[in-house]
Amino acid sequence: MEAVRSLAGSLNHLVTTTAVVWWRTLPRLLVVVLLGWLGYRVFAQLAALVVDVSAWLSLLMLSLGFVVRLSTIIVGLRITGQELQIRQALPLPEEDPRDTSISHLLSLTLLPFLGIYAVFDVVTDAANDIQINYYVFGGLTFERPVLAQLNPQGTVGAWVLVGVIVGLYVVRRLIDRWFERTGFRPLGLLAALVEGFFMLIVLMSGRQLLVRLGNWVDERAFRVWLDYPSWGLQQLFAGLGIDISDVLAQLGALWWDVIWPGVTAMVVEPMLWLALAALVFGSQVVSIADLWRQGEPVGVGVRRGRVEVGDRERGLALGVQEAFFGDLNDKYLPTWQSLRLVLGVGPAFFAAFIVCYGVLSTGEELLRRGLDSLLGGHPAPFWAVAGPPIDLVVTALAEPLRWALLATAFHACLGHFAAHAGAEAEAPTTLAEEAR
Amino acid sequence: MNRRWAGGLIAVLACLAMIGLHTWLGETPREHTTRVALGKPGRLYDSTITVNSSTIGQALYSDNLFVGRSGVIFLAVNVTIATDGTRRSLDWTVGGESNGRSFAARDPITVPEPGFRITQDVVFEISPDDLAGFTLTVLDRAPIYAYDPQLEIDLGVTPDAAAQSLEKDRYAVVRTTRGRVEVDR
Repeated sequence: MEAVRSLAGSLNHLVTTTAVVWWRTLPRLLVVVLLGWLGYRVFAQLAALVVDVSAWLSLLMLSLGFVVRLSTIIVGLRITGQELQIRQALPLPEEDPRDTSISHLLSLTLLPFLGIYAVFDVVTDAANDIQINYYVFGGLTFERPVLAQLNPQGTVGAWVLVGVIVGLYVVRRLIDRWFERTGFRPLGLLAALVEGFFMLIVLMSGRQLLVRLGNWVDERAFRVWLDYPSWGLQQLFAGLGIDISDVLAQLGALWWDVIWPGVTAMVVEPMLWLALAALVFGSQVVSIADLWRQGEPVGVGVRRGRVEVGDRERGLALGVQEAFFGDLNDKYLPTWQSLRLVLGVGPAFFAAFIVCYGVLSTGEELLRRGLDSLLGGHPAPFWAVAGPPIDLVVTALAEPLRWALLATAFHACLGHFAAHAGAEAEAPTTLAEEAR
Repeated sequence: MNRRWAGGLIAVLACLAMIGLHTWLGETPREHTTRVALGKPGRLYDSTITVNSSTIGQALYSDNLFVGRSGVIFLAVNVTIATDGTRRSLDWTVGGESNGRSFAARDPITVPEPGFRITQDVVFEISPDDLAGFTLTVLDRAPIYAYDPQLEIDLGVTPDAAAQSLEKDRYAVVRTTRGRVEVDR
């Protein structure tokens, strides 16, 4: 019963506080949503228009659109975070040395953000939209490949693609270093843009390289060895009169068609978004212990280049290490730690957050379907015009709620950790309680 | 049950509930379904389709040519399609549904050029149990997939009507027509 009470309490806290934060910040959030939506749409349409000029340029436009979208999310989360005074709830020193600029947050969150979008096919959908818009603008044709131009098996050779990917990585690292030395903000945005472009190429073309690698493996003689265990298993179960292939196929269908899509959409997605929110609110936080460490927190972004070293060779070695593993240190590690952070809150809170997020996502999808249904069946040119306004309505309603929920959830995480760490400071009071 | 296990159970149940919700929601539909009554015209992109009647039997003749005899039953649905818009649709999918099962039509449907109409039969081979509640589905796919219109036309066969019809016509001969294109006036 205590677990149920705890769940009910967490649900009540999440729903009421989210509603209060949403209502108080709604005008500002709506402006942010509108600007972000407009920016993304402009770049997405431009991406479709410039395909004939160059598929690379089109991809660059799309990456600009994603950078705009992520900037919107960061600004929205910061607004809701300000309302909840999350920064004040973090036990940080007076003079916080961390870089909280948008450009820094962009560079920090772009990887998990595009990762989330890639996992949930948003990147693929965006690429499909480019293709559809291209056909709507220019007429249906199969003579001109749209983004298929970026397929390494197509007009672009595999080695050219690998060269572009490596080249972009090096360029981005150089811009990063330049930005660190000068602190010139536009360079941070440029680095984020290059990274977005780099990641989109990796996601859209790199996948084809993996397919090509898989095909190469399939054509090798040793590939047959991998089938031996399954053949043995089939023979073993055939003796018992069981068609194990059929059983496994049915189990596989159940898992991949029913369970796994539900798990990714309703469990993995909300936790990844909360991890991303944690990155935005408490960037460079490495662990729970760091969160509550007295004094200056340990930042993962502290460059090895800034560390004073005894001899030149060691400094050089650290420089090389920074060049090759800097990304791991700066981006992957914080993402992983954020995920650990939000997963460690407790089952009742986890359940409440999953339920709230699931209901919000379902409501969003039902609203979208309802609006589509109101307009009825129409061809693609109609949806090219009607789709964006519908998307704006749904986004304007759902996104602010999502940001408010994520901020509230992270705020609740902090309260939970404060209670568990036995911190002297009182657990943050909720805005819902304040409102009462 | 200790507190930790109870908490874990709550979390697992919440996850299962949300996965169930997601499964119930299903994938975003790619077609907009409109229900149309028997004898009433239903609108697709540039065409109007009207289901006139339906007949059942065991032996099938198409334009007086013997086609075959069924171990179950043939269901012939007579439809009129008029292309009263400016373009002829190219990708029609005609099927049937009953008792949660889907059926494919034996032959593709003929869609006339703009300004013309055709009355033809769509034939299904179904189990007698699936006659009651049989629904004809017609989907008009645009060249670029979007949110295309689909019609669901309930043939209006109640269980009682199905029983009577089976008793009377189960072993009858079904005479169908592939139709002739006429000017749509």
